[in-house]
Amino acid sequence: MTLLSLTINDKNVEVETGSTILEAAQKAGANIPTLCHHPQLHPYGSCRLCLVEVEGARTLMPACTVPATQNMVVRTDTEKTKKARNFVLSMLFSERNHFCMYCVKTDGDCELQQAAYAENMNFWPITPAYDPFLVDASHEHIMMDTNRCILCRRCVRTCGELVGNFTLGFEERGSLSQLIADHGVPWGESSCISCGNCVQHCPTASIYDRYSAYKGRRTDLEHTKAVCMECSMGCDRVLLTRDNQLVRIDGDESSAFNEGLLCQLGRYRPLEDKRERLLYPMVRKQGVLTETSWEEALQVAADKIDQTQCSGIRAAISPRFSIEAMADFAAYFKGYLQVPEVEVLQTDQSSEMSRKLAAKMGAFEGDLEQLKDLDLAVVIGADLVELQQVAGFFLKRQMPNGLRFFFAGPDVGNLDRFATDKIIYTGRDYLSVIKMLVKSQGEERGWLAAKLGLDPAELERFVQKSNESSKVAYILGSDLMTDYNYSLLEELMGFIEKQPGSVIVLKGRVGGYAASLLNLEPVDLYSSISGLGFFALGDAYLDDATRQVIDRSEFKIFCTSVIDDQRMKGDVLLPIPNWAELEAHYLTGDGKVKRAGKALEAPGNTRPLVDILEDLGRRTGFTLKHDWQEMLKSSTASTELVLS
Amino acid sequence: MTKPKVASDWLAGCAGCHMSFLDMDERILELLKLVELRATPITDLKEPDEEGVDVGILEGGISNTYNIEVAEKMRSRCKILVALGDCAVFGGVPAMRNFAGADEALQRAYVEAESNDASGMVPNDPELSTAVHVAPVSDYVKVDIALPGCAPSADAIFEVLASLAQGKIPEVKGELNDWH
Repeated sequence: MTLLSLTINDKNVEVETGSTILEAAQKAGANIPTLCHHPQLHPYGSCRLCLVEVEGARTLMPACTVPATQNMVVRTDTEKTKKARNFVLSMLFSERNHFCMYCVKTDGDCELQQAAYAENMNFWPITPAYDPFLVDASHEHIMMDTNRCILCRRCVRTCGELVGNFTLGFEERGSLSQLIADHGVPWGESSCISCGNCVQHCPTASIYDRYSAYKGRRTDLEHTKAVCMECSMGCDRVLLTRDNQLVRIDGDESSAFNEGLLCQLGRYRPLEDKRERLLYPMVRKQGVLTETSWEEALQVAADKIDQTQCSGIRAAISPRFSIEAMADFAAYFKGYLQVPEVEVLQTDQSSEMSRKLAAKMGAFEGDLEQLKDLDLAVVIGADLVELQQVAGFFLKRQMPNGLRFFFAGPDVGNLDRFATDKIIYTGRDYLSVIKMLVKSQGEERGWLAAKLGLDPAELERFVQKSNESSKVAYILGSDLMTDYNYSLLEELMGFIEKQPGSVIVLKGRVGGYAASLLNLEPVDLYSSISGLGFFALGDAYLDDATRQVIDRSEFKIFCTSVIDDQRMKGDVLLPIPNWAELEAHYLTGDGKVKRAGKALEAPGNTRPLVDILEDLGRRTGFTLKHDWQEMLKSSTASTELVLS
Repeated sequence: MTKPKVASDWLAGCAGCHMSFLDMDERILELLKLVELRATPITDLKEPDEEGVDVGILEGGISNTYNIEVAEKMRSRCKILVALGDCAVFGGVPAMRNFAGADEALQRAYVEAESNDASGMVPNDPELSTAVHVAPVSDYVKVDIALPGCAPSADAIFEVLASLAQGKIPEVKGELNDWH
């Protein structure tokens, strides 16, 4: 790439061709204020705050959109630019309701206010117009108050460019421009998927979330880096807390992986959780759950474990626990007590199947980051709508730019809404799908396509074009990755090995992959073991199948952070901190160990699961050796493992 | 040298800026060494001296004809006019009325409010001032120094008055410029 040389405020700087003046200025250390600009979004140039003087140019130029050219001479801080910036801000403040004193987003949070401070603006030269604009409070999580809007379209661009959902847009023009959802429907009834990335990118308080509103400035909250616990993507996020309360969750914009993006699950689910916490150990005495000391509760549990034959013990852990906890769980129940069934609850078989395939062909999976830049995405049996939504964003946002999209699975959701070149099969006949992709040619392929309800000619065209693709990902999900389909999977892998591109297995919930590498098996729903059940439930929401599994044990020991009707059926209840109250490590679906910081103090008298297991080990005559890194290293991983 | 004279008054505001002024605590004594405090809404003398003062301070925006009168009187009797607080500088909270209009606001307050009985009516005595579009003071009279804030901190008020007392025109920027 050729370098351009230009002068900014008398300083010489070299930048790559295609850089904007703004990028060059940043390199030269010149601070140009911006509002509509966001480093993750395409330059837009609507606010005009970044106007600079370019020698030889007839007018001032917006630094964020004008490309730097050879020998350009730029000045960013002259009387003329200052005057222009002041004028731009005056116009912005005059257009809508930008009164700070009753705004939800005050000092330090609002970029418009900061921009005014930076220009030493202490009054508005133009009186505001006082035209009322739309307030939309129909959304479950997010408020829209377009009286605060500065028409920068960062939300619109985030929705389209980063998430690929294209829900937000504008109607009308000029000062009447109005932010709307879809074609002007109430936001809560629109195609919005509630990911909240627009909230994170709004420079003013035009879009804000209900949870953190009026709970203090973002800059006054404590920020703790953590990893998302909702699925195997492991998006980096930041927990914002105040007075030991979780106020808001943001995507971590410094993350090279999700670049600040989160989905509804990662951003709002924990904030919606209002379940009662278990604050002290409880033991069932004469049929009644009674508050007790840790000493007594642990001794009751240890005695029960001692008294029960190992073949009568069933131990299962929720995949929402950290690697440390799962490793100790495996070490205690599997390694020491030799319990036959040490299982992981509420998981699917995707990790198991990956491991089984890896045992034959080695680590075969690619990196989730590859999903960001593809020519062809082949999605089979994967759910990118409920879980792994951010992976869905990566694909969706490329679709308008020509990403070829092949989908086979029960529900495509809204993934393909903006796909320009797609083959969608909604169904579960993976045998025919894979046969069609792998083996068949010409007539046979046409026949299989017709069988799946696809247009054979269209498929043929798609396949021919797809053969030109070099950046290809085969994204396989839990509906395909089952024991039942194993031979089919082997066939598919054999095919993919000869193709350009990589395989990515989406592994359901967080922790499923780590559990599998630690030799914890997906729970056997039909197991006959009924004596003692030791269930590390944490804060998991229990589905019916899990409830039935739990009900089968006669004596139930629960390690849990919350209370619900199912948990109240336990005989020993041990309170543990939840995910935000511990520093711990988690394994993403593509094999990266990520550290989550401790953001909150646990309420009541809780102990982490690892401490409980250590204590129980001591009481039952066993010293837990804690080296999960070694345990992971010696496992058969289907991805590369990055342990640090 | 005689001490500069300072007078203040309030318009459509909440008195919060004057409270913030009092919030400078014992520094008031220091300030009084530097200036002569004349008419204020919180002292006995209510109107600025006819022969004029050096510094006039107005809290609150313009929301009715009486506010205009007071603002114009203060302007005519002071050399330097300070607009104190967000209402005086921008219009502030009372300016929320502009989004609906004064008629609707009066109707809501005097007739429709849940606390009213059936006889509720908008006061219409000819002696009363009439509501106008709420505006910053600077829309009616020339303002020399704008000190925004809701309310401006006691430190900021002290800083500005202390500078004026020493014959300097303070620059409202950096920490002094805090709109909240």
